[in-house]
Amino acid sequence: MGLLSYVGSSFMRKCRKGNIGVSRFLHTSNFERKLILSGGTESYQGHFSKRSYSSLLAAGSDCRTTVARMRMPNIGSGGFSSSTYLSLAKRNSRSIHFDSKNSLPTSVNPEQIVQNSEIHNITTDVVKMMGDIPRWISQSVSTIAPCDAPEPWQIGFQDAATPMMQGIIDLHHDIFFFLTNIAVFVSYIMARALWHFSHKRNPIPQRIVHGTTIEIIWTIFPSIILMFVAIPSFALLYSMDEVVVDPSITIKAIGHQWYWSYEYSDYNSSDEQSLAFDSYMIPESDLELGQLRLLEVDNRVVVPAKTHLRFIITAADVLHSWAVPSLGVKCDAVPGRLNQISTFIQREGVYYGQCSEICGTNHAFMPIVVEAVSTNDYSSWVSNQMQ
Amino acid sequence: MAEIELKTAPADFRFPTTNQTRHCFTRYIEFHRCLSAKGENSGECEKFAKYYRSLCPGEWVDKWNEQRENGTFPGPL
Repeated sequence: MGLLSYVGSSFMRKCRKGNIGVSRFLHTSNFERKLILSGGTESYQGHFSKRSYSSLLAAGSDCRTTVARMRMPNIGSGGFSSSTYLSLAKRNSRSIHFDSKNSLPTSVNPEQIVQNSEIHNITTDVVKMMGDIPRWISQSVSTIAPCDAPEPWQIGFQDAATPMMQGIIDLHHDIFFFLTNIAVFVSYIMARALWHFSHKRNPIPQRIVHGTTIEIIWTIFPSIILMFVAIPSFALLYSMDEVVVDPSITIKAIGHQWYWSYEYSDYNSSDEQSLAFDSYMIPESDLELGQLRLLEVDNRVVVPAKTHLRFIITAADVLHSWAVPSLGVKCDAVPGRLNQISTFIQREGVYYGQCSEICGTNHAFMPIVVEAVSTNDYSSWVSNQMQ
Repeated sequence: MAEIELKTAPADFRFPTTNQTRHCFTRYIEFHRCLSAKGENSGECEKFAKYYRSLCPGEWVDKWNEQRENGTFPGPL
C-alpha cells in the first residue's frame, strides 16, 4: 500500500496541474480560490459552515455527519499527498479538533448536540493518530477511516458494511488462494516447457505417450481443488437466500433518466406519498471541499443502521441498476418489475455507489449515497421530512 | 421527536423470490377485495392498505386507481 501510493504520488505530481487524473478528483471551486487569494490563511471552518445535506438531519445530529465528512480529505491521500492543495487542506483539517464544540461555530449550540460515541471515538482517534505521526509516514500508511467510496488507484474491495459483502470478500480470499496456486503452477510448467524446447539444450525429445498414474493424479487433484472452491461459494449463495427475519423498513428506489428517486411509504396514511424525494448528483461546479466528484448527491438515502431493511428497486423508463459496493448490493432496476433486496447495515457511515446499467447519456452521473444513522436519528429525520 | 414505528409489509412466503411485482399487485387486489367484502369504513382493511403502499411505487398505485375508476383495471377485484 505504501509503495503503491508512493508510485501513485510521483505519477500524480505530473498530472496535478492538468485537467486529467487526480487534479480533477481534487477539484473544488470557491474554497480553493479563497485559500490561494488569502495566502493559505483562509479558515477551513469558516468556509465549511454550509452543509448541503444539513436539511437531511435534525440539528442535533449535524455534527456527527459533519465530522464524518470532514475526514474526507484525509482518506486515501497517500496517493496524491504531494499535491500542495491537498497538503494545505490536510494541515488545515488536522489542526481542527473534530469534536462537537468547534466544528459548528455558527449554527448549533453545543448543548444541543448528542454525541454518538462510536463515530466520535473513531474520528478523534483518527485525528490523534494523524497529528502524532510525521506526515511522511501518514502519507504512506493507510488511515483507519473506512473506505466506503472508490479510492484513486484502488485495487481491492471497499470495506464491507453488511454480512453479505463480508461474505463476498471472504469468498474472494478463499478462491484467490487457489487461483494463485494454480496460476503459479501452470506458469512454471509452461515456462519450463518453453525453456527446454530447444534443439541445443534438448536434442533428443522424450516420446512418452502414456502414464496412468499421473493422469489419474491430474484428474483427481483439480476436482479436489474445485471442491474447495465450490463449498464456500455454495455456502454463501444459499445463506443469502434465507430470509428468516421480516424487514423493519421498506424503501423503494426508482431509477429515472438520470437520477434516482426514493419513496419511504411505510408512514403513508393514504395513497399520497408522505416521504418521497429525488436524488440528483451534485455537479462538479457545485462541489465543496472534501466532497467526492461524481459521487455526491443532494438528498441521501437515510437508513437506520443495524436494522433489517428491504429495498424495492424498479425503474420508470429504461434499465438502471442500483449498486452500492460497500453494502454488497447490485440490483437491476427493470421497468415494470419490482426487485427486492434484503440488507442489514452493520455500522453507521456513508456509502457511495453508482448506476450500473447503461441508461443513456448521463448514466455515469446518477450516483447513490446511503447514509446509515442510529435509529433515533432516523426517526427524527423521518419526522422532519414529513412535516 | 416523534417515535416512528419501524414496521413494514412482512416477507410473504407466497413470494419468496427477488421478483416482488406479483406481491405488490396481490396486496393491492386483496385490499380492494377486502373493501368490497367488508365495507369502506371498517378498519380491518387498513392492514392491506399499509402493505401495498409500502411495496408498490406511487406511480403504479395512481395508475391502478385511475384504471379502477375507468373500469379498465386488469385484475380480479
